[in-house]
Amino acid sequence: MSSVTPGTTQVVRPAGAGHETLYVLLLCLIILAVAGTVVSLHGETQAVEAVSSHQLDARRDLSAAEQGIYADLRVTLDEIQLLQQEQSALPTPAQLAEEGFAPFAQDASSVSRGDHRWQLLAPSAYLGLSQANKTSGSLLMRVSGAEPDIWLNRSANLAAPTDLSDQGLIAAGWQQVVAQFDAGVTRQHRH
Amino acid sequence: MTAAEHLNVASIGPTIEFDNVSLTLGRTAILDNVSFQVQPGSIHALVGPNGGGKSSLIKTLLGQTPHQGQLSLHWPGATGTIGYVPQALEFDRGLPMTVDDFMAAMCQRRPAFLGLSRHYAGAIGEALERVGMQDKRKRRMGALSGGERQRVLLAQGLIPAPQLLVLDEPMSALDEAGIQVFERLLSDWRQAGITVLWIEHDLEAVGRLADRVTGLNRRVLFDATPKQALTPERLLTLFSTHPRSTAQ
Repeated sequence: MSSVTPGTTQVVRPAGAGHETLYVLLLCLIILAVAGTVVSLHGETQAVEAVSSHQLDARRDLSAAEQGIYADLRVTLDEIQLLQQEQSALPTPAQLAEEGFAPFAQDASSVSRGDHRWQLLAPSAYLGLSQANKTSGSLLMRVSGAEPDIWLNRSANLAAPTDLSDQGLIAAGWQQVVAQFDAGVTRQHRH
Repeated sequence: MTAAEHLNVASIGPTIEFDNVSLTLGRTAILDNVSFQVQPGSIHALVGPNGGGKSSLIKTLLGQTPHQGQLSLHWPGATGTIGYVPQALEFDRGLPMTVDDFMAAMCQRRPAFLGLSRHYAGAIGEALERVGMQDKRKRRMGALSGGERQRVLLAQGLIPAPQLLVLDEPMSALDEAGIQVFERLLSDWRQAGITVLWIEHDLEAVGRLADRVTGLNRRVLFDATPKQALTPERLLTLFSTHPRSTAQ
């Protein structure tokens, strides 16, 4: 119509002719993009920290018996420190065994774990020499502060170390047991 | 008389142009190259047998079908409001929805259960007054007679004031008083210059009230003034042919 030239022309678009599908796809893309952004912002990188050559990973480098003793030592360290505060000296292994603290107590499980002979090394360390090196290595715990500081040596016929510094222990073939909490070790299959 | 009046009125309604509009759903051809024009400010009647595609044509006009061809509305100004009055709406007798609730649900943005919006209350009251339903506003929709329900549907089409009104057999359920109300509304719309596209079965009413009439049975059979169109021969071809069987 010539008389309606200043007006507007509205074309009725067919329904369902593709543009609705396009909008739905566009919405899907937006949802995916938002979800992807959120996931990438909240995700944490799986950084696996390498263990130094003089260290052992507590979760995967220890035998079952060693892991058991290591865990017991970590727990008993609290008791050792309490006793140390009470009597202002480190308790002897015999004293700890009497109280029934693992791994100092002599019982069936300690025998099956290698039957360690514990002794107190001056100035502040516990040494457990293994009697069955195939089951478990010998363990050494230095008591200095609240953090456990535990070393392992799998050599047979071991003598008590004289130098209890890091360098001295490393030189004598000891390895420090460290616990790391990075990648989920339970999901890894190391066969 | 109406034609002379019509000439003096500046139309505010749009021109509707159907240009080779076809509609096929599944394998059924419902509309076949429908081409005609609805003049602005005119009352254009659409007649034809059942299943002839009249309601489909209106759905197409409202943008609800995947049609082919060009269908455009030429508005004299900015794009205006389209009012639509459906053929019928079913309501359960027990549905606790009053006439007021229905009008609120149809006309306002605020949810109807929060009550009538003050902004629209005046317009709703006026629209119900025009169709003579003012004193039945608290009645349930399901309790109304078919004619009363049709009047409420008409009132709903008046809010907000449309520039194009699409009516799908508004008179089918109306009683005698309702038909008078409808005719009064129709002359009001003509005065206001609104374009009205009107599906109707009552050919006597079409001849009396419409400016132009299109016969539709899958395709356009005629498009003329009522006086030229509503002749016995034309009506016989409109209502007696079986286009689906002839097409095969």
